[in-house]
Order: sequence, then C-alpha cells, then structure tokens
Amino acid sequence: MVKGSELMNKNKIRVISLLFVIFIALAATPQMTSYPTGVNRANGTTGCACHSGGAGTTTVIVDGMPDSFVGGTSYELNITISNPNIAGAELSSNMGGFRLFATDGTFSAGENYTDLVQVMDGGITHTESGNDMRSWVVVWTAPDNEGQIVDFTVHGNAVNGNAVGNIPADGNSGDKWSTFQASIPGAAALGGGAILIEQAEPYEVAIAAITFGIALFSLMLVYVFYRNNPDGFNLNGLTEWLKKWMTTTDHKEVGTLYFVFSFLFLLIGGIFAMLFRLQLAVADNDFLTQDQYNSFFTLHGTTMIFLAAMPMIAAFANWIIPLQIGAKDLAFPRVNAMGFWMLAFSSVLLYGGVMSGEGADITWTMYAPFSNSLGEKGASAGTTLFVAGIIMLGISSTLSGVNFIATVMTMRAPGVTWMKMPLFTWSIFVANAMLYLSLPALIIGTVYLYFDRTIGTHFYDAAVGGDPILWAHLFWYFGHPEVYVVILPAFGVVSEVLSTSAKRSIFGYKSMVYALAGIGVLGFIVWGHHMLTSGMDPTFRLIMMLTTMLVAIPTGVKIFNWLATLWGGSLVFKTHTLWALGFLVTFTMGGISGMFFPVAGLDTHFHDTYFVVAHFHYVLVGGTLFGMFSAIYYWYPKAVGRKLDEKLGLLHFIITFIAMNGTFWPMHQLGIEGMPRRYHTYSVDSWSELNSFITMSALIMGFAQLILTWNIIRSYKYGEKCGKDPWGGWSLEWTTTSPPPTPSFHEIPTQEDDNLHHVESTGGGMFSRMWKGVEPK
Amino acid sequence: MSYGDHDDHGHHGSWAPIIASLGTMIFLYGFSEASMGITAIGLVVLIWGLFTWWKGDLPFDGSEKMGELKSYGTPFGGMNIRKAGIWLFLMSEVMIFGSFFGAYMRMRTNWNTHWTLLDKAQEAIDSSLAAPGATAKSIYKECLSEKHTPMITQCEEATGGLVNQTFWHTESSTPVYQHVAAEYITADFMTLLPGAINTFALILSSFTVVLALKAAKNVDLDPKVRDKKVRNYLAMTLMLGTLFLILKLWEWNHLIHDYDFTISTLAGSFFYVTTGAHGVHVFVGLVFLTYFIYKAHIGGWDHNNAQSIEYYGLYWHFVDLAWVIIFPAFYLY
Ligand code: HEM
Ligand SMILES: [Cu+2]
Repeated sequence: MVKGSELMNKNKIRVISLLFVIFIALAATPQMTSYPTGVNRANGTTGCACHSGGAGTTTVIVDGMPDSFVGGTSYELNITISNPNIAGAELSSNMGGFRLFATDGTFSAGENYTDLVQVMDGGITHTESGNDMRSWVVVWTAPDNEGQIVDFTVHGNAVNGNAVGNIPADGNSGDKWSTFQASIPGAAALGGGAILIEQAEPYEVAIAAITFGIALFSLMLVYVFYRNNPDGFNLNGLTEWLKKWMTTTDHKEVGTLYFVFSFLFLLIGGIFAMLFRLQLAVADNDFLTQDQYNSFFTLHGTTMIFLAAMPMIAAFANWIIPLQIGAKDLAFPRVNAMGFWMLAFSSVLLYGGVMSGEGADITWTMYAPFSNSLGEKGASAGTTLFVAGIIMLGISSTLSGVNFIATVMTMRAPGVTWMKMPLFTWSIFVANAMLYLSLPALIIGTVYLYFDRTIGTHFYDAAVGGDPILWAHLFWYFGHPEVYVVILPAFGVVSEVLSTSAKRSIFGYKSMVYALAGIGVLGFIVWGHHMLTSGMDPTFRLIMMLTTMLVAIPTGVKIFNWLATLWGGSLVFKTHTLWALGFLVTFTMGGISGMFFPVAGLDTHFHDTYFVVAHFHYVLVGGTLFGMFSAIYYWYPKAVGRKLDEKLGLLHFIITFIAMNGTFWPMHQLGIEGMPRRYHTYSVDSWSELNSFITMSALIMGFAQLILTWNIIRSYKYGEKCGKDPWGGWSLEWTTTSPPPTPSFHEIPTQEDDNLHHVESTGGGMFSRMWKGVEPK
Repeated sequence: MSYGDHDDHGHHGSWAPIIASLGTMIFLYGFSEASMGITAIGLVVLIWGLFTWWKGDLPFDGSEKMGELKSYGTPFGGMNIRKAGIWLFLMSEVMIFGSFFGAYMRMRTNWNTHWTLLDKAQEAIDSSLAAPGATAKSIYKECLSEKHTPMITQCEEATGGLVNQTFWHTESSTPVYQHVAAEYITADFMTLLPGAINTFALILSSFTVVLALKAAKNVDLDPKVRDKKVRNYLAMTLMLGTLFLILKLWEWNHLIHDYDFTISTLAGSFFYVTTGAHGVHVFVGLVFLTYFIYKAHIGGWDHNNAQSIEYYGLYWHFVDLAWVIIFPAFYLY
C-alpha cells in the first residue's frame, strides 16, 4: 500500500495547492481601487450661524469627491441640497445655501459659478445671488502633501423663501439645514491603511453578509463531511473527500454540486434584492447611493438568472435526465464537470469588483453605449471583469448544452422513444437546443464588448460610427431564447408533478411536445420585442409584434393541458403539487401581462417601467422558481432517500406564495403610473405607500427561504425514509433505488407505457377513467 | 442488454475540468487587468489542465483501448456518441461565425441607418426641402456612395439639412466607413498574395488530415509503415496550419504599419477580431494536432481508434470552411 498513501499525499498537495490558488485569486480580486463616488449624509446638529432654522430632513449630497486625492489636482465638486418638505422648484429666489470647509487645499468657483459662490475664511460659500438655487459647482485643489487625510465639512440649508419681502430676521423660520462630513486620504495615505468606513456602509452590509454566508457554508461543508462518517474525521479524510468532489464526473455528484452552488447564489441574490428594496421603500431615500444601487441590482439580476436559475435547472437536468432516459451517465462526463467548474469560477469574475465598491453597474442586459464607455462617465471599473465572467458563463453553458442534447439524442433506453419520452426530458432537450444555438450571439456580443473595454476596438462606440443597437440585437437574439431556457424546464417539472399528483398520464402528451418544439422555434424570431422603443425599422417592429403574439398560442396550449390533466385526475396534495398549482396561477398572470408589451403602442408607455419588472418576476419567480421549488420537493427523496418535511413545506409555500404576490402585484400599478425601473430613488411621495408594502413583502419572501434551507439540511439526516417510488411516478427514475447506484444503471432498463402504469396503480388510464367512468382506486 | 466490457468507463474522477476552468479564470482576470504575468500564468494552468485530460488518454496502460460508446435509437442509432457530439458542437460554431458575419454585414450595409435615411428623404420631399422632382430613392442614392459610405455634404444638401453628420454619429464631415480592409488588400497584388496562399494552404491541410485518417484505418499496412505515414501526414497538416498563421501575422503587420489600418477604426475592429477569432480556431487545432502527432510518433493510432482523427478532421474542415467564407467577405468585398 505504499503506492496508495503516496497517492493520497499527492492528492493532499493538489487539493491544498488548488485551494490556495483559489484563495489567492479571491484575495487578489478586490484590490482594484476606489470607492463609489457620491456620498449622502443627513441631519447634522451644527450648522452655519447665519440661519437659525433647526436641523431637519434636509439632505446634502456632494458628488465628484475622489476616493483618494492626487497632490495639486483640481476636483470638481457638485453640492446639492434637497428637502422633500420644503418646496424648491417653485421658488425663484432664496432657496438655499451652503458652507464648505476642508482641512487643507484651496477652493475656487466652478465653471459658470464665479458669481454664485465665493471663497471665504479658508472655505467656500454661496454669494448673495448664489442663494437662489440648490446646487453649486466648486473646485477643490488638493494640497501637495499626499500623506494626509483631508476632512470635509459641508453645511447645507434648504430655505423656504419666506425672507422675500419680509424683515430678514423672520426669514429664518422653517428653514432646515444639515451637515455632511467626509474624509479623503491622499494617494500616499491610502497605503498607510486609511479606511473610509463612512462611505461604504451598505457595501459593508453586503460584504459582511456574503462573507458570513461563505463562512457558514464552509462550516456546513465540514459538518456534512463529519456527519457522513464521524470516525473518519481527520485532515486526510477531508482532503480525500474534497478531492472526490473536485474531481468527480458522475452526473449525480455534479448535479449536487450545481444544486449547492445555485442555492448559495439564490440566497446571495436575495440579499442584494432586500438591500435595494430597502432603498426603494420610501421616496427620496438615501440608504444606498446611486452607484451602490446600480451595482446591486446589476448583480442581483445576473446572479439570479445565470448563477441561480440556470444552475438549479442544470442541477435537476444532471440528476434526473440520465435516470429518466435509462442511461448510466451523460454522454461526456468530463465535459459535464468542466461545465460546472467554468460556471463556478466565472462567479469570481462576476463579483470581482464588488468588494472594493466597483461592482459592475451595467444591468443584466449590459446595454451599450454605457457598458463600453470607460472613465468617469462610463461604467465602473469592475465591469471589465464582469464581462469576462459572462464570457466564461457562455463557455460553460455551451459545454453543458452540447452534452445534454447529445445525451438525449443518443442514450435513450428501449421504450424511451421520442414520443414516449418524459416531458421533463423533452423540456430540457428543447431548452438546451435553444440555449446553445442562441448563446453564440451573446458570446460574440460580449467578446466585442470586452475588446471595446480592453484593447480599444470600437464596435459599440457611436463616435466613430460604431453601433450600440448592434449590442441590443446580439444580446436579445440570445436574451429572448434565454427566458425560455429558464421557463421550459419549469414547464417540464410541472408536467411531471401534475400528472403524478393527479394519478394519471398528462393530458394531450403529443400537443405538449409540439407546443414545446413550437416555442423552441418561435422563440428565435421574437427578440425584437425588447427593442420596440429603440428606433428600429417599423417593418421589423411589426414582424416582431406579430411573432411575439404567436408565442402565446403554444403557451396557452400547455396551460389548458395542465388544467385538463387536473380535471381528469384525482389530485393528491403534496408540497410539490402545491408549488405546481401555484405555478399555474402566477405563471399565467405573468403570461397575460406579457401580452401587453408586443403591442408597440402600449410598449411605448410600459417599456422600462415597473410594469415590466412585474411581468418578468411573475414569470421568473412565479414560473421558474416555483417550478424549481416543486422539483426540489419532488426529487429530493430520489436523491437523498428521505422526504422533505411536508409541514415545513406547506408553511414555506403559503408564506412564499402570498409574499410573492404581495411583492410583485403592486408593481403593475406603479408601472402604469409611470414609475421607471433602474432608478435609485423617486420623488413622487404618493408612490411611497405601495413601495413600502412591496419592500415588506419582499423581506418576508426573502426570510421565508430560510425555512426551505432548514428543511433541506434537517431532512438530510432526519427526514422520513422512503423507497424507490414515494409519489407513484411512472418514468424510469422511479424504478431505481433512492439514492441510485453509480453507474446509475448496470443493465439498461426498458420503459413501460405510462398509461399502463396508471391503469395498474389507479384502476384506469386517462381514457378509461374519463370515458368509461372507472373510479380511481 | 448491457454495456459490455466498458461498464465503468468514465467514472474515475478527473482533475482536468477544475484545473482548466481555473486556468481560464486566471487568464481572463489577467487580461482584464492588463497584466501580462497573470495572463501567462492563466494560460499555463489552462494548458496544464488540457495535458491532464490527455494523460488519461495516452496509451501507457492499455486502458485507452476500450471501445467507444455507441448511440442507440433515432436519429443517430449505431453512430459513435462522440461523433454526434462533435457535430452538435460544430453547429454552435456555425452560430459563432454566423454572429460574426451578421454583425459585419450589418456594418457593411449600413442596415441600421438605411430605413431612417429613406424616412428622412420622404420627410424632406413632403416638406419641400428637397429639390423639386427628387424621389426618396434618388436622395438615398445621393447620400451613399457605391461602398455604402455616407456622402455627408451631398446628403445634407439633398435633404435640405434634415440629414447631417450627426445622423451618422460623426463629429467631422469625413465619412465614417470609407476604408475597409478589402480596399487595401485588393489594391496590391503583394497584399492579396498571403491571403490567397492561405486559402490554398488550409484546403490542402484538410486533404492531408483525410490522408492521415485513411492511413491509420488501413489494416493492410505494416504497423511501422502505418505509424510513419500517419505521423507524416499529420505533420504536414501542422506545417500548413503554421504557415497559415505566420502569413496571417505578416499580413496584419503589413496592414497596420504600411496602411495604418488599425483596430481602433470600426472596420478594423471587425476585420481583426473576426479574422483573429478564426486564427484562434486554427491555433487551437494546431495545439491538438501536436498531441496527435506525438501519439502517432509513439504508435498510438490504429484502425480501432482512428475515428479520433476523423472527429478532429471534422473540426478542421469546419475551420477551413469558415475561412472560405471569411476570405471573400473580408478580403475581397
Ligand atoms: C406569453 C409570453 C410572453 C410574452 C408575450 C412576453 C413579452 C415580453 C416583452 C414584449 C417584453 C419587453 C418589455 C419591455 O421591455 O418593454 C418582455 C420582457 C421580459 N420578459 Fe417576457 N414575455 C413572455 C413570457 C416570458 C417568460 C416565460 C419569461 C421568463 C421566464 C419572460 C421574461 C422576461 C424578462 C426577464 C423581461 C425583461 C427583460 C429586461 O430586462 O428588459 N417573459 N416580455
Ligand atoms: Cu422576450
């Protein structure tokens, strides 16, 4: 056994060095300069002496502060004060004033502001005529000594203008001022460890949450390892165990990796959502700065689509597809593992800028010409890494897409013919075909974008004749098929769950297959509906409008088939059934709101409002996520050999379902009223009410997922044990043990007819029960 | 029914995926941060991953002699699964080059501005800004040259000022698209020559791959002779591919230095990135080829596993085909 232990040592070294490299990579990532610019502070207690008005709700914002200064450089600072309670816009004079001090450096007036601001006693303030406004531009020239930290203090006053034509002494009443303070280190002081805690508050919440999550996650891994084999709990065993997971090519284990990964990111994406929902809870809120808001919702969207929804689908596809078609593994196991690791490492790039406050802020659609612009007015520094991450995601999905299609095409066991293939397999097949044929457009689009940002190409730069609309075409040529990539697998899950729960075969199997295939084809010729307002050829717009409406037909066919399946069956209410029924309700509503957009005239109003946000959350949360939750409750026993707790499941469902509708339904109303999406705040007070309600619901929905997390962890050891087929399913995955062996089948099984199965188990297939009136047993 | 003797094939784990992915990440990280060092490290790790992959395949212990998994059922019944995989992969490659091509044609035909141009022309006629008797089509023609290059001054006149340079997003009145690569390349025989040679080199190399495959599959040959033949044909392919890349770099160099046709113009962006992407495909093919030649050198190919050369050939033919489309579109048009 000399060789054996040698091998073990080698593995240990490999594991440790790989972990080390990952760690270094993670540690290196955040070191990319700078804090977000623009800082908010409100409600100080000391102000200027010239006005006696009390401290209050005034907000002072100073934009353009550098993260660290370079000696002798001039910085343009925008000082803005606002107060929702003191009208500003209507007043023509005496609206506000400010006083700015710095411990070093010199001030001067900004361009066009020479008459409006004046230098005074080492600081700068407004002039007589400069108090007719609420924002000013001043220039601060940094001192030569870069080794120091300069402290800034601004007092801002929102004046209500009652001094006009009055005795000046009375004019003070009702004015509200507040103070803002910041510290800016010199470039040399930065290295000395100057910390700008003040500016990074919500970032810290996010970073702390993520760090805490990862620590908890690592702890959980060690715990799971310990529980697996308490006696073998030592470093050698741990590296062996980690090695197993790092090198595995078994479809079930890779599936588990996908699942754990996606679940982690589902929670991280949720944290981001809750943070920016807090920001939107009331009008004129300043919990997040604009930059923070932008990068938070960018990461939220990208995380949810690419790091949560798609990997979770891949998790079930990995686990279930080979079992359902009776194959012992996927066609290319190593390629499959590579797909996962590409995904895993891409997340490091995507999050590259976050830790330093330079997270990408280009939204999940990454629209040019903002995303390709560099410098002050352009996207933040982390964007380049983010785009690189998207390219890696493209590679990952192409690899796994080819793999799944090849598997389904070539490895179906006898009896699993195209027209008898379970619908989940069909949906994965169509979804992956769409995915890997549309991804190239995204990959090329992002490669162009990446080169625009790195080596100086000008694909999207209008200034030299480049074409930002090209990006929109390339993105949406991928983007629309992508939304079907994430919804079709949920269709598949719901089809399986409803037919099993109704104890009958699915109604209209063939039409289901044709509908899937029809969506697969139509999905490629509708991308322009995302660009109806971008100024494209009216003829093209008309075509896109019509084809988009066509998609509703196969979708409708599916919904009616599901309903008909329920009608002819005898429904058993398990947790997965509830999620599937919930899916029917919410997804249908999302589909209906979708039908408003293709009408170009209506879309001109709805585009980029909260109505769109409501629509895609109804289909993505109420559709994809509910479908995946259903799949978790449905297939967990197959993977683990124990059921999830049904009581906790019920609780989870009820809270999530209600909170989900509470979160997204009011958004329709806000959208119709014209609330734009992708803005960090709003000034319409009447929107506050609905928005606070949404925020509350969102928090409830977020925390409800802890129930599921707990359920999954607990049931792993303490769940009710179950046999091969706990729910009465008919397809091949239920004919093997729970959990299945490796390789998943030694002998290739043969699939029986689903109607036969249901005849045996319930006393009648769908036809006999519907038309011959046989009662289910 | 059972899988037979190769039942446990593919179930021993592999370090290759995680290492190669890590390498990709480090590579992209370095590239994004403009750090040559990190980029190089990434490349090394990536190649380390590939070698780990191949090591499992090399004929040192006989395990590679296991048969291939066969497909069953429609549509690929009886075909090797790997072959189906290659074809599927090539379909996504078709979409990759299709995207390059579509984006390029959009640029060359000014697709995005044409309909608005017609629209503006009509508007000019309706509001009597255009010369009497002008039609939308005739104004349109005055606005664009043969090569679809904007003729800004003429167009401004013809539409009574409705269309000016901001319409084409340009600050200066110099047209934007005037110089595409083809204009330089076709202007001079010596510039066209490398591209022409390259086209033949690639087509020829597609042929030598087939010869290598034929030799490897030939059971009548003495193994020694066979190994030599396979190796030599593959080496010829490698040489032709290398020639292609060298000529291509030479030609780029020529375009950049003698004509000042750089990547920072729009046409240059399209030209260098598209032909560069094709070049990367050739390069990846050559990396694989090096391994194949090594395997031939140690006598690793026979009629049992020669299909790997066939699959490689499919990829290589595709790269060839892509070039046959890129060449006229980017070099001649
Ligand atoms: C009946 C079917 C559907 C129709 C007719 C439809 C139509 C549309 C249209 C026209 C838009 C663009 C609205 C705008 O930006 O002004 C849109 C946005 C969107 N849809 Fe749908 N949709 C349908 C189903 C789905 C499904 C099933 C999903 C995903 C599971 C989905 C996800 C999205 C997303 C994510 C967006 C927003 C994209 C963005 O960020 O701008 N839709 N939908
Ligand atoms: Cu769409």
